[in-house]
Amino acid sequence: MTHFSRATLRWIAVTTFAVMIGVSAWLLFGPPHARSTDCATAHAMWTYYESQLASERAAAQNTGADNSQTAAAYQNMVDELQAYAGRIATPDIRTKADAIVAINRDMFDQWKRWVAQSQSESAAGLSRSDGQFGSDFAQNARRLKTAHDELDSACRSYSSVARLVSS
Amino acid sequence: MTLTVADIDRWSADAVRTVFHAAGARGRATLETSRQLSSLSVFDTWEGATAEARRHTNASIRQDLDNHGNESLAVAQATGKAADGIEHAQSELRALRHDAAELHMTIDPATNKVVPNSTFNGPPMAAFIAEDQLQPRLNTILAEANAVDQELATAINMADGDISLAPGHGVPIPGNQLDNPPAGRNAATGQWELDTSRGYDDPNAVPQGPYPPWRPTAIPEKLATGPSTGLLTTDKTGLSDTADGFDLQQGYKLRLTGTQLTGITKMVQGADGKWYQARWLEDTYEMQTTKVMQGTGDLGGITGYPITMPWKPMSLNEIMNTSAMYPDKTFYLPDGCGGSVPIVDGKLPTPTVPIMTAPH
Repeated sequence: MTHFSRATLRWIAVTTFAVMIGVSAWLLFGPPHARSTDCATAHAMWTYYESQLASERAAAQNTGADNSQTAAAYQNMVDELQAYAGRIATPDIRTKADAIVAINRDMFDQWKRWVAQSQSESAAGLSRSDGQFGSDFAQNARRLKTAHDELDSACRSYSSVARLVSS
Repeated sequence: MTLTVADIDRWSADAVRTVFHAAGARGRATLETSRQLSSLSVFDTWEGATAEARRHTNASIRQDLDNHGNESLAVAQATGKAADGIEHAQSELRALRHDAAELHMTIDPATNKVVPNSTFNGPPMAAFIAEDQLQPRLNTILAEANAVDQELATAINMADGDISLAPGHGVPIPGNQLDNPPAGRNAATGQWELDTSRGYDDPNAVPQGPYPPWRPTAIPEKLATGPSTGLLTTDKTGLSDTADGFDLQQGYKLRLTGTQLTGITKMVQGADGKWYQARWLEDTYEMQTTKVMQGTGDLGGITGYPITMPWKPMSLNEIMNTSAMYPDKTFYLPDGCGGSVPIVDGKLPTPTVPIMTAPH
């Protein structure tokens, strides 16, 4: 093999490797502009989630709540989270946003079971269903926190890379 | 005078509710003045004719204030009920007008009759059938409206002082025979009920019953319900385990449901020389709990959605025990007049008694 042929092959190999890295990165992170938009959507999704928790808590503090109204508000919140997640195109961000929606759906189902079981129990103090629901709630809250941390981390690491590239 | 549909249209439930609020506020203020007058112990230290005259005047003023306060509250109750009745009659009338319009009929507001409207072009028999369907509903609405009108008139007469609250209600009870609750009872959670339906010559007479063991309150739910405690952490009660990553927080509300007989009675002598039975009635309550799961530690930002438990009857002791689980928090016992009595650490407030600082 001539010197020219070896150089050409080496050049082809390097180019192919670079293209593969580029395509992989593209597939993983998506187009730069879409990713930043999706991270903004994911951030808005979590902000919305926190605002709904605060709103329900405030209602419980002051006026008390009606379970059927709370169930409707809960369903609406899960639907809204799903709508936020549906607007996210970047695959790894979407996966994490979907996980947050799925955990909230689980928590809603648990909440409905808690309501059904608790209504025939004592009004004051703790009951058996409270303890059971509390453990389930804590497990899901832990999963939710992990999912949110991962989402946050994915968007933060991207913005660090983006800053590095742009500089 | 019989009302017309035009009269019902002109009624304003809001205006009547304004009277309801004003009368309620006035009644509560008057009764509070009377209560404060009773706690003025300064005259207790006086002696002689002046002191006797002052005590007598004081008791008389209090009796007047109590009568006036109770009348105002009765007016408030009657007007509140009338306002609800007005809204109901007007709502029924709107529904009837809607149904009539679908049949091309209308209501003549002056004659109280269901008649064909200008778009009706069917045979006379169709108009007759429609009228036959709708007129009885209109008659029912008018009958309800007249009943409301009568109740409102009674309330206005009460406000004018033309009629008293109930037969025998005005029997004055001299002195302070009904001022203090029985031993071990609190004036914030019960009251003496004077039975003036029958007076006795003998203080040892055995009054005739039977008396209902429990009566539901006639107070509107909004006034009968106290404010929420807000969400209280159960961690302090030792019932929760925040190490698991959650704390069950609970908020409590109390509402007045009625009064019950306690079996405590006494005979008091009226100004007419007759003896009347007074029965101590204890208020009865229900409690509603709202529960919320709150993440703890690094899960502190995650809160569950609240659930509301059904109202459950609670004795005063049970309420006090629940309150004692949160010693530094306040529970609110409704006073039935839109206010509340605070319970802290399982205790009702002790009435404040002025302390005499000058010598006899």
